[in-house]
Amino acid sequence: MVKALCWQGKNNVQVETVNDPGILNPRDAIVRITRSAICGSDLHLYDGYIPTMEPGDILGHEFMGEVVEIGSGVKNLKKGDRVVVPFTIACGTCFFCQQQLWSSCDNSNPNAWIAERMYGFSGSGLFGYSHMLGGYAGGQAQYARVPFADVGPIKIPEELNDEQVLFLSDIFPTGYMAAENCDIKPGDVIAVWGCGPVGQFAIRSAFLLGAERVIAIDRFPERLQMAGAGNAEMINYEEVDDVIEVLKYLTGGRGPDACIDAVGMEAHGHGMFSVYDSAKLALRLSFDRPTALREAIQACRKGGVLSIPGVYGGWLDKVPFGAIVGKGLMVRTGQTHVHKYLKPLLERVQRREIDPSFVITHRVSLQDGPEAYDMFKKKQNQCVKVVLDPWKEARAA
Amino acid sequence: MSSSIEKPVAQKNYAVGEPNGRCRMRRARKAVSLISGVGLAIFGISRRSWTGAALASAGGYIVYRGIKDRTNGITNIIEVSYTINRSAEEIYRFLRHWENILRLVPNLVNVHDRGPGLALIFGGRFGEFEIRTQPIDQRENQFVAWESMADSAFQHRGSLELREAPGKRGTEVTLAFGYQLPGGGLGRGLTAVFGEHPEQQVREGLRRLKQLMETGEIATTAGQPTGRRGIKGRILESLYREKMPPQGVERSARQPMIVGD
Repeated sequence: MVKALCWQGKNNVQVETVNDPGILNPRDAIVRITRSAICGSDLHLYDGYIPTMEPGDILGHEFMGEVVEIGSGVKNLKKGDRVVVPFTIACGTCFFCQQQLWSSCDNSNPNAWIAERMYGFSGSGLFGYSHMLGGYAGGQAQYARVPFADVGPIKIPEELNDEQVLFLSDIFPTGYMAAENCDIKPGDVIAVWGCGPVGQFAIRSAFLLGAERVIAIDRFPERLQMAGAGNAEMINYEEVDDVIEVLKYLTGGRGPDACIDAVGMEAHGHGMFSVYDSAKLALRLSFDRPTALREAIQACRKGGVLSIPGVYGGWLDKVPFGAIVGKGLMVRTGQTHVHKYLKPLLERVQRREIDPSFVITHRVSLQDGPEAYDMFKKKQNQCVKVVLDPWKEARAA
Repeated sequence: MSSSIEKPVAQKNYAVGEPNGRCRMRRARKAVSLISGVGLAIFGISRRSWTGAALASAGGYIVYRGIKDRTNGITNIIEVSYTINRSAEEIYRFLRHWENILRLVPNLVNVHDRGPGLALIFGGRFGEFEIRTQPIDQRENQFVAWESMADSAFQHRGSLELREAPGKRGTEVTLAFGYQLPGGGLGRGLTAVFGEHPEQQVREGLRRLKQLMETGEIATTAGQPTGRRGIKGRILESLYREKMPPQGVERSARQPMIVGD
């Protein structure tokens, strides 16, 4: 029996004792988790906005650990290997995996039929992120089963510690892909909405990819400061009248060359549309509040790129699509093709170009996970990123 | 090579069946399906919860099936197509073996060769039942077609066709299946709610073929640990069909009889 954080409903996460995971398919591995993290997208689950969650689902999709068991089909790993596990589950052999579109894998979602009804087609399965996206037990636990372990997990060299590599599982590649999607050219100015962990990595990745300037937009001073530490210019949207006008002013009237929406469906927002969105949410007519997205579309320069790593769940409305057409914007989005970025980003960490652990503000045990969720949601104690140690109590005991 | 196919065999539609003359009986069944569906929907809506919403949509679905039945005639046809990143030869070879078919068709537990035709034994929520079927046509690496025997409880015709996909994307596999479900609209509604509707089974069967051919396994979460489900969790678990057994573990234990090539 092992400990795991389980979803029990809106604003209700509990530490529970669950059965040990076992090998179910030949290409599975079992990982003893050494570090796990709470992702901003976990808050969408916590807030009850992602459909097809079941009480009892084990949460968590950012984790790493030690391989303790492998299925008969896994030849590239052995017991004792230290690995980071990508949050997207991909087979490696379908058309999409072969095009490096790993998060569109055809074969890893056992519940593809649900996603097909909602989206037309299903993306890959994900760890701990609703039944529509696979229903796989997640990694905010002491152990996890990793399907297609022969193509996903990446081995970590000894000289790097867990905190330096943990975020290869999701937020570093997610921020990086968001920046890569901007097609950054010399002289480009990139605006980033949302300075949560993905926003932070998008900012630093934009500089790694050669951006001239990055402008970060948020309202929490500690998050803006973290962005500033990464050389971004900062706009606190609560302190300015009109973000779009400020961005124009800051870019010589051109507008940012690319806009990254690292906020997603639960923008706090302000103004008329935000009231409208909240009313619709209360009536359960919608799951999404696209305030940041609207602003990013409006602010982007003509012919620029709109890059959306933020998570949206369903049908949006009052999105200024006319502006996308009128300015000829290119829209790029999607779940991160994590597998594609694991190796190149690990190499950047090894070359000391970036130390991803800068984003961590809180380190807690699994037992304290439920409170950490609450703190992260309310953004108390200047919380930006929580890392969980599943074995802290066991070691203390 | 499959590239030598000049005319797509899809034009030959084996799935279309003949209407029979039992309209009055069917109308009675549809009435039952509509009434029970409306009842379930009202009960569900009155619960004012997610569980209630699930029940309501289940009820709604039964009503929908009942209504669709009225206009749909007697034969139901489903056509599903997937592109599988493997050659037609590999797929055809795989399908020649009954132990492989047992891994594909949900709830199919055994196959017996009974002189003329085959007896397919299905298990599942509604008990064990037998379907009698026979191959009617096939062309190597291109298609197979089959239909039910006259005395089968479940009347159906099916065909599976293989065509090379453009741009080296593998093989387009098309499955056409026409059937008449015992129990009419009510039967269809109930099987749909419990995930045992023929259309879902055909779709999932073809998906399993794709997964097995491309990855060597069928993606599953059945058997993984979970926290406390509670009543709501258990209902959802059933709606999302999580208990589908992992690839033929239970089935292979039964030692299916292998039908010769």
